Amino acid sequence: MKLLYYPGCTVKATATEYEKSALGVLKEFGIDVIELDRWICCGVYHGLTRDTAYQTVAPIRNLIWAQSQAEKLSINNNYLLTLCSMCYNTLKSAHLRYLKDENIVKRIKAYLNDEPEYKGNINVIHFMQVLKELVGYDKVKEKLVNNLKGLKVAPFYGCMLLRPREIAIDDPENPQMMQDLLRILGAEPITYPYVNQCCYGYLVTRRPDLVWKRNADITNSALERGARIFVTTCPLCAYNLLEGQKNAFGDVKLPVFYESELVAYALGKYEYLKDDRLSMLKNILDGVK
Amino acid sequence: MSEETYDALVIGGGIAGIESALTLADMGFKVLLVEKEPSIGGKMALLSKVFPTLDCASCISTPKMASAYHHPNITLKVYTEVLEIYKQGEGNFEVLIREKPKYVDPQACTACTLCEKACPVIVPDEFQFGLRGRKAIYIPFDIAVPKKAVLDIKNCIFCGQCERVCPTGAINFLDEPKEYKVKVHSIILATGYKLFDPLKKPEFKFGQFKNVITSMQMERLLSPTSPYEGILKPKDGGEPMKIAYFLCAGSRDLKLNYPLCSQVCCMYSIKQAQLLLGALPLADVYIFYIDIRAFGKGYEEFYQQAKAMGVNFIKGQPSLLDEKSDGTVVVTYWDSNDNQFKVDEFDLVVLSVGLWPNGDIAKVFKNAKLELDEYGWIKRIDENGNPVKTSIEGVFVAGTASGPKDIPETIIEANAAASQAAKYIIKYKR
Repeated sequence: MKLLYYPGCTVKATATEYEKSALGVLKEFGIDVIELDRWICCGVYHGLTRDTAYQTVAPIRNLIWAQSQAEKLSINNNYLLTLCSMCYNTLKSAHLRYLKDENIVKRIKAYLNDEPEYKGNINVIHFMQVLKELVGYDKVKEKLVNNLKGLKVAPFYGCMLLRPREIAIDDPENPQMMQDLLRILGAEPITYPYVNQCCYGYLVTRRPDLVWKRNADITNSALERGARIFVTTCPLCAYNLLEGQKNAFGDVKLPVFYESELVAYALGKYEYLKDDRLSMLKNILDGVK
Repeated sequence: MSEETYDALVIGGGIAGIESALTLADMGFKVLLVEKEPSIGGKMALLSKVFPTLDCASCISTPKMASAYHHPNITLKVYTEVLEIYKQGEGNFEVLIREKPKYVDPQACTACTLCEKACPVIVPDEFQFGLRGRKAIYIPFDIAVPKKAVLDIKNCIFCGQCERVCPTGAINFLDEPKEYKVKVHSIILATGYKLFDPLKKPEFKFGQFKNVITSMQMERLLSPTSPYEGILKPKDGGEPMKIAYFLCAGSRDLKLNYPLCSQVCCMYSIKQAQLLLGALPLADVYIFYIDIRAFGKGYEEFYQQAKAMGVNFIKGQPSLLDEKSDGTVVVTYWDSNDNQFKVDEFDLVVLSVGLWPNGDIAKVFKNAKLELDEYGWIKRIDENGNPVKTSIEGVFVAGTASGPKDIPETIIEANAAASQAAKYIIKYKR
């Protein structure tokens, strides 16, 4: 199965381990990931402007390019894969806004007159959804080589995959998607209240003190319930969780892994993991056995 | 199969059904009172006190329960369900009812509780809302009417212990359900409400954090027949020193598509807060609210009294709950008076759960349509002119079956429905 892929800036810059492991895992399940020829920032940069038309231009431009490339390569499943939660949220909500609000369509067309028209049928899909809906957790189970038995994991969705409700990949108040997969891998996901909460995101640029405190609270809550690592699929959450611990405690008490890294390890495909990450994970697993 | 005739059928043996049945019976009509649980009394019999007078709830309801049981004009069927109702012209209903097997002969049972003591099976007690266990053979609660044991066959392991100890030989494992038809001239629906299930809002962490309980559980803790004989935290059995109430849990909630106000939560929470200050003199009570709706006579004074007693009222809704290892619940909330987020720790969190519809009864009407409103409450066809009238002529509704309301209003409606039913019976009885 061919899947068009929108990377976004973060997985190319800071979260390279996420891209490497996620694309590797998908390859294992026979998914042929094709990166877009052209892509720009998803548009999250303008996320907080009051004018929603302003937020919509960049994501729609990306979706138009995805549409053109799908036509060129005659891929007709309309999926557009994203790894970063922020990109998922921005692209998907822009798509919905475009379908719903004629006024916005009229206004942004003035900026997009050099592009073909967006037909509104690109289905932005997140890595977790691909694993659950296109691959299927049963298939994952069949291929497992390593068991993560005894590893207590604090899953952290962050807010971008779950809110607003219309684009949520799972029940926003009680998400289970990540936990289900973790249980299949043999790990033990803990239940703690911050699982679907915000890491305070880009507030880190203006009020880092608040973000450090917030992520220290999250870490303490997870530590109290015996977690050994965090697992997330959002590069921004991963950054805040790590930096928050460093700044609040002086060291990292709970390392942060991406869900795809754990899957890659459980599949026995160490080549998709970075060396330092692999040895860290092995150390932790030795500790719990 | 015998076919008996009654003037009226009252479905539901809560306070509304009991009151309607008593009023009709006192007028001289023959009444069949049907209750699906093994005891009548409904939710009111399980409450501690009533607002705003702080009278004992069971002292009001038990005399009524007892007189309904003993009244010569009332035939009481507990543990019984109505399966089908056919309307055959005005003043003529044919009803199919099923008596569930109790596996205990009620005539022989003396409520000596020997069987309860002998039974080895322990399951959560639904009449104590899971705060305590009960046996598989059990007497529903201390003030149950009729006070007879029933055997819960789903949890029974057929060890035969109860049969061996029963001094009157009342236990009969071969008991079977009895189905039969009755003819009635009129029907009163007093099927009541069900409590909002807090698991529908996982953000309240009910079921995850042990020290998050519902207001009905607190009601049991405060009542004279309390399961713990005191107010204790479920997590460690200690006395709570700081208690929070979250109002509007499952009411006025657009996320649940349920915008109705449950009408009683503000007042019962204020009542419980006052009782808690009496029971635990050193405890602090905090009530988180959207609005305090103290609308009835004496209610506003009751609210002011709670304030004067030192109950803390915080305008704002809690947003995030966390639990410490000792069970303390850490609550992050928005304080609308100070316009800022605050964090506070509570030993016990009580969810003031709302009243939700219990509209299953509509299904039993086979050849007439009982209309429900958009949320599932029985629809009042003439909301202002005749609030006990339903979409079926001759079928009346009393109490919380038609929407959330408090006890005095329920009793007023029960009597209104009884008088409307009497008028109807006299008109059509041939």
